[in-house]
Amino acid sequence: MANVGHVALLLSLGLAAYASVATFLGAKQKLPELWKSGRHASWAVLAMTSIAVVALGYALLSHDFSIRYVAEHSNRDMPLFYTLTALWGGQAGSLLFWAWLLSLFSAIVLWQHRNDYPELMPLVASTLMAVESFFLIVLNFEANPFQQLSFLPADGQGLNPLLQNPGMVMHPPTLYAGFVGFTVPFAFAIAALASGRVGAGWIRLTRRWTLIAWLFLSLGILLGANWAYNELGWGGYWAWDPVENASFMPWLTGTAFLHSVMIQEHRGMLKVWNFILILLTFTLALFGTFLTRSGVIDSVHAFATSNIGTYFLAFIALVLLGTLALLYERWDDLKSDNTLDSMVSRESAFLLNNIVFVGAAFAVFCGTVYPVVSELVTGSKIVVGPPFFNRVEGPIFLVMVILMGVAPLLPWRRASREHLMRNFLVPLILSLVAGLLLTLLGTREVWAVVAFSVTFFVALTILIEYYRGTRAQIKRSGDNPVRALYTLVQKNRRRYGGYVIHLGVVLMAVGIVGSTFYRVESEATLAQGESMSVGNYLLQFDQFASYPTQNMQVHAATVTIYENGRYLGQVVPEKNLYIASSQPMTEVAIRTTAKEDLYVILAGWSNKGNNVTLKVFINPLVVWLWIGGAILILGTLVALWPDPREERVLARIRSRELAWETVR
Amino acid sequence: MIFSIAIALLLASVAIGFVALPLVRREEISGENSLAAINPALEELLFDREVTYAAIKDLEFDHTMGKLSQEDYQRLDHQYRARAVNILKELEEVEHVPTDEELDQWIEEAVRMVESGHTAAQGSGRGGGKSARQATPPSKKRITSSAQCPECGRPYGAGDRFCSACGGTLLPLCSACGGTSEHNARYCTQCGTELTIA
Amino acid sequence: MGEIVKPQDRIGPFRKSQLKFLVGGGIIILAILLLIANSFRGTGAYYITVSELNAKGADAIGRSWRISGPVDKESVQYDASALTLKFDMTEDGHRLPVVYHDVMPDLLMKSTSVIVEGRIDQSGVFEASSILVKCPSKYESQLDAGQEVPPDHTGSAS
Repeated sequence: MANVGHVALLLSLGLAAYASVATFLGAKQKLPELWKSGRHASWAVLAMTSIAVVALGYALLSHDFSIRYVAEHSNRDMPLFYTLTALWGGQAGSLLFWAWLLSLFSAIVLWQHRNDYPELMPLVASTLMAVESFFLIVLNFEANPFQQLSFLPADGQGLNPLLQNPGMVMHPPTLYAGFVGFTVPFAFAIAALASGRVGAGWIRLTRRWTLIAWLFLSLGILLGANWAYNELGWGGYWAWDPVENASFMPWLTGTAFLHSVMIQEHRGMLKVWNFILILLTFTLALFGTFLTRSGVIDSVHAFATSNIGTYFLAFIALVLLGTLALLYERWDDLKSDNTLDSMVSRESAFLLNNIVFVGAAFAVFCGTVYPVVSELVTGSKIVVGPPFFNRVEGPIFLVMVILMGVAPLLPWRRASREHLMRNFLVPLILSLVAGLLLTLLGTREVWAVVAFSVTFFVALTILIEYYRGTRAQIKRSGDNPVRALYTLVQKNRRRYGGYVIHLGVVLMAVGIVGSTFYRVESEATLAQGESMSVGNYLLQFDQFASYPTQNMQVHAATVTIYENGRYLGQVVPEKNLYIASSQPMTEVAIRTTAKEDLYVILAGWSNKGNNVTLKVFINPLVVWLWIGGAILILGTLVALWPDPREERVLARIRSRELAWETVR
Repeated sequence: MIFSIAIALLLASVAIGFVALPLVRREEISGENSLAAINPALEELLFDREVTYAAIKDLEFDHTMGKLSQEDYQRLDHQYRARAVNILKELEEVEHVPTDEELDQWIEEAVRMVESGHTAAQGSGRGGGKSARQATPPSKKRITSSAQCPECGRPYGAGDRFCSACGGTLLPLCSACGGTSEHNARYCTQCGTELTIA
Repeated sequence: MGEIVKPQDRIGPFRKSQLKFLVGGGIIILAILLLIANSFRGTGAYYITVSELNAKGADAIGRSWRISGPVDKESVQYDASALTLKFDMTEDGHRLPVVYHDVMPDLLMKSTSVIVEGRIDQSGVFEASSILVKCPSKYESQLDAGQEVPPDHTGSAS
């Protein structure tokens, strides 16, 4: 199978390189047959990379340990499911998976528009295939998943037990899908610049691709956070690790892009800015890959050091310089059609949103590369940790959330005073009242009061938006409220899907604020029958058990929980020793309610389990982070759902062009 | 070893065959497959038009939601409509390339109108729909009037009953004074001239 | 369709109406930059190795450090009931005693090296506030190249 894989990878590279050149020449020389041939080559790339993926999957399943990748990332004891997911568990495999995803997305794009936009599409294909070629070069010459060992090991070393978790299985591929997805709008942007068609066309055509990429990226980040919370046993979900930052930065700029394209669509402004944002998002996605694979920055889940970093750095430089040169070329075509009229309008709110999002990404970037930069400049490596990020991003996120509440209520172009009074007075007063109430109820942390009031304000404005929209719809059509709400959302999917996303973010903010400001932490060593109290809870250690299972030795403490004297139930935190790898693994016990999570860790035991040490966190409101996350995904799906009108608009443009052509 | 060489050759030949197919066959490359035919300016304008239409719709939405005051709404709405009109005008210029038959047809029409005592201007853009518009040569002067389609804002001329852009019903326009009258009016309500019904 | 701009509405290359946006945007960007710079000053820690720390001598006391180095497995003592972890980091004959008051990271005993963050007290003991564990896989000796480092956030709580 290794041979088949080798051949498929080499052929993919040849085909991708050919496709990139052929489509480009086809566009330049106006040779449609060359464009068509390049298109075929792109589809052939998908076929070849698919063969490579299947070959690697087969090698993993058949335990062909003569292949280095298989030996390093799987063993005979692993369950089938995890053996298969080892496909993207390691460096070379994940790069192959990435290349395969990109060839899949490219094939879909080129199929969708195989007969449309002949000025744009060959250049889109050329860009996509150039990126694909880069990944295939790395795969063929630097990180070949089919590399063979000179000896045949009896068994592989297996996947790290920490990664043998459903959340961790889904986390990397969703992230990759997000990263790869942003290549599509990037390719359209390059094509638009290269062909001089810098109007709203490329944005219109890539709107859904951008949203899909954003959906996957958001989902990937959420899954990662959830996995960290449930599996890693330190009571938190986000540690500002360089690898987490690597996925967060393109998310921030991608979010800015999603918002700023709306200004271009409505007002014909910010053309250059949109090109820069998609360029930033794409290069940050590449940069994230570079970070995790180059060993430049120490991270707990970085891949092994290798030359891959050099390849990525060179490619990033090429992409940046190339795009900036194109932008410079087209500078005169990119002048805005319009100007901003008023500081108090939706476009200026969007603009502010953009500055804030890019600022947030910049801050994350600074913190992430600070060790490298400080070493270059001062000679000593200085690192910053979570306190830095919390201090910088805290206020920035607060501004973001405020904007989220204010912007939807502002009209395009300008807001009048009466309008501001009418729309903001009620939510403003109510949220001030809410803040006051919180203070009276004993909340002392100023930031928490501010943050909760702001989130309350935002939630209120969003609900008012829905209410007003539904009322207007009822007035117009006389439908019942449910039907009216449905019609409203159906007709303005992007807008109301966006509001659902905002609502999700507000809930997430509630969870983050709650668990950041009000976390309670306690630890105690208990003899059998003894108990400890944490917050309102009383935890009683009942018994300790130690028994072997198929692949590990389980050590489990049974703990009974009482809240204010009332019996709630039992939890069983464990610490398990994987026999194959002799690696201990903490299994936390989490008891979730809407109010707070009780998070119990078995820290250790002595005296044959007669004494156990428990570490307990109370993480208030954490569940709202996950609920908010789910709502965010739901909102994205609402915005993303196929809109027949959108198709009609594109079809109309297309038919008009054809008609024009025929007449001529 | 032989097996893998065979696999390699097989994969390579299938791939190369598939890629080379369009180059070898050189089928009729026209219409949808041509690379040079489509006018980029036209596409830009079409997208711009969609964007402007969407903006007008959004404005109306904001207005019904109570986010825009009446006067702001009217002023902004007017501006967007003016922009839409401009785009439509440009679209017409870009799109319109008369063919020989169209030119012949137009000359015949003009001659007939001169014979029957009408001025050529009155016949401009008669009827709705695309074919009529294409009968209008690019150089022909249109009546400049303030009348715009109530649906999409496109200006129209005397004698037009339906909008050429959106098909909306138009108020009759007087060729003499440029004023509009009620639907079904036979004489201009402002100057009394008989309204031409095309 | 740009509106016509009268010459008196221009200031330098910008329209007067745009100027306030530039000023406003500039202020916000400045605020973000200040926030970043200010936080760097408050939270940065020097990242050095055990021998580099040793070279600093008494200067090192009382400041924040992030130190990487291998763990002397023999020296690891974990008192679960007191939640106290003690071990020495060694490099080139230099020894750094570390104490950590939290749950012992799962992977500590399998680590090639660790990164600890914290301060040095008067007696030369490193009080770690967090530990990151870097881990090899068991084929390291057989397969010459580096391995993936499994993730482990243990101790790096925010």
